[in-house]
Amino acid sequence: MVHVFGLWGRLLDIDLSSGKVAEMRINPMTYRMFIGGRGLAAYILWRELGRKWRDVDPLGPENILTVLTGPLTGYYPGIKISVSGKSPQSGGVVGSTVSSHIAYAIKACGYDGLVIRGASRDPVYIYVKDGDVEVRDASKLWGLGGMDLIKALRSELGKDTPSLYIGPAGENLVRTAAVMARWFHAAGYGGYGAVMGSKKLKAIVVDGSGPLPPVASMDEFTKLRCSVIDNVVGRATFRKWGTTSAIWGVGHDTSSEPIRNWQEEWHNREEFNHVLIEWRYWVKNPWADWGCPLACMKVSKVRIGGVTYLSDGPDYEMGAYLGSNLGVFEVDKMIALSAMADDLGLCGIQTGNVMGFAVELYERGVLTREDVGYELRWGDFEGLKRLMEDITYRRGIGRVLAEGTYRAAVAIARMKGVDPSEVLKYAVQVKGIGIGAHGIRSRKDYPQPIAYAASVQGGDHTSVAGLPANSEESESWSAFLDSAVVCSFTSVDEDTMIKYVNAVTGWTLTKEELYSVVGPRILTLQRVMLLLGGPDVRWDPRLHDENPPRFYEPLPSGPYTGGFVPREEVRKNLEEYYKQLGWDEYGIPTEETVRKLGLYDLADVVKDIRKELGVS
Amino acid sequence: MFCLHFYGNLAHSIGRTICLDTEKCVNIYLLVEELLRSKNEPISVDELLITTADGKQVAHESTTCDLSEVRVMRLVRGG
Repeated sequence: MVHVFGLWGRLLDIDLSSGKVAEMRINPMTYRMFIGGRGLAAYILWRELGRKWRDVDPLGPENILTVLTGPLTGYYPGIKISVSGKSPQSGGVVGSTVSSHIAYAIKACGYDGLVIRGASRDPVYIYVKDGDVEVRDASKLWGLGGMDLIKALRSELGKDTPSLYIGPAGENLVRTAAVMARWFHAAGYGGYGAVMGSKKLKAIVVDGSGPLPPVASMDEFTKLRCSVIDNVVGRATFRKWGTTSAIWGVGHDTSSEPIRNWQEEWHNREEFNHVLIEWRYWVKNPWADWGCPLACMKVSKVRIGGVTYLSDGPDYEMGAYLGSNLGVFEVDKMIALSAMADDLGLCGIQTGNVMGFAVELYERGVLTREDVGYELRWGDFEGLKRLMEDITYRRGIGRVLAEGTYRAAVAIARMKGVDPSEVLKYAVQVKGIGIGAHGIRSRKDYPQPIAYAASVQGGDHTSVAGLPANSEESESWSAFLDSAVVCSFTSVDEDTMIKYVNAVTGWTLTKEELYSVVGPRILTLQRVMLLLGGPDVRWDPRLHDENPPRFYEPLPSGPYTGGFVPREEVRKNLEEYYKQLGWDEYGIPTEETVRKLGLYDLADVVKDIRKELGVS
Repeated sequence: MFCLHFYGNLAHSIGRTICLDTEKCVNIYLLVEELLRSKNEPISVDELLITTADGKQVAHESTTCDLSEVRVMRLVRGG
């Protein structure tokens, strides 16, 4: 039975502790309130775990992993899936998305997503074939990297079947581990690869052959789809270069690329550019996921020291974080590090962030050869490879760094007997999440000084906050895209996107409602869960709604030398942003706001948070 | 009068709407490029999506005599 157009209204609810599989029904009004994907994940996590949120160990069996589609999955050009749960990085909820055909396959099985709870004792993978679900033995797959795993699954299933999976990093509960798809794609933010690892869940494989649910208005949907495809196909530059071109553009032109752990954000290294990569290393261009007319992806191949490495573009984030941020300006070596991260199942952003942090600590003498066991130097390919492997397998200093930048900083400070602020000043993260590779000091790339400080997803560059809160500059826009589950690269203007959702679902969503109710509802719920945090992290908005200390240091080079973020502007904009979202002067949602948004059971929670912070 | 409506990060840097008196028919992409340069925005026109008010991509040969307003946004917000 169709509950709402474009969606089935049911999820697969799989308990890996008991092996029990059930169906979770989602009320049409819940979809109307939270849309799907990221918003629905926040709703489910609050409903199932809310009252004990602070005590839930993200890497314990009580955490829930959600893998959700949205109303636009299968209908909008491009394909994404939302992965969420209690984040082992922030202690809140991060809506992490990844391109994968599995999103379409889930809907073609007659479901809108999967809710995975409990933990298996032995390695398993979930296999869904239309309406049937099996939890299969994965002991022979455990330990495999992405490339070998996909080959093994192909051989076991007799064909290529859409999957999400983890590499050794996720198995070893590395907090920077990603949920991977199709060799190079990663749902990196949030650390959900470690959540899969904690459940002993190596992969989720879905083979769906049924139809998608009907849409509300086929005529309007067809018209909009054709218009969006025309629009997206016209983005020739994107198809030609993907995001790889930004390793030069963001580094040289807008001066906002991480260089050596953000000590600089500008480079003039002409050898570090996309044209060279295209010329020498792209073996497939363009390349696309199912149904994507943009085709921004590429495949790179390099051979170094007798080893062949395959990666995608790499995309800009990987290029920046595993290239310039580590002082690696030789593109072949950057591609190799990117390929390694993909195969090991690491998020390139979070891992590049913690690796850059470690090299800077070594450079400054905070970490020593005795601590690390070998030398850490900018641009030293062999040493950096070794460090990445040590993080993946939690060996030596890798055991500390596998906890992510924030926790590693606190642990290193304890190890060295210094105040945490002495080490945290080199940690370029917000609320446990390393900043995406877009700086804010030049004001030419991400111009909003509260982009990361106020985000409910910490350093996530795909979900930044901004003023005014009732525009696409606010985080409500990202929350909408992640909940409808759309790739931001194929998204178009707000009016068309809203018409599209309405054509598929039959809703009457308006721009005003999106920015004054639906978006703020999702953000407010995520905000409350982030402020609750736990069990090992707590965020006080007076201290932690803040940029990394490095962003207050003036840029030392490039066309925007001297650029920095003025603290007064950050505080002023934060106050205004809170006000516009109906949060109090500390950034805690008010009781009136949560009630107005229909989040009635949060009223007591926000009162308690205020009391605990001594601001009631 | 020809108006450009900026979205996202560009709106923050440049302003939400800029209207210009254009006596001659000027290519819209060239006009946007010149405007960005005059505002010291280090962004290439190739990184932009320029659409009509109803969301259709503006053709590369379109001029300010063909349209009275366009929407301008950056294609890549992240990588």
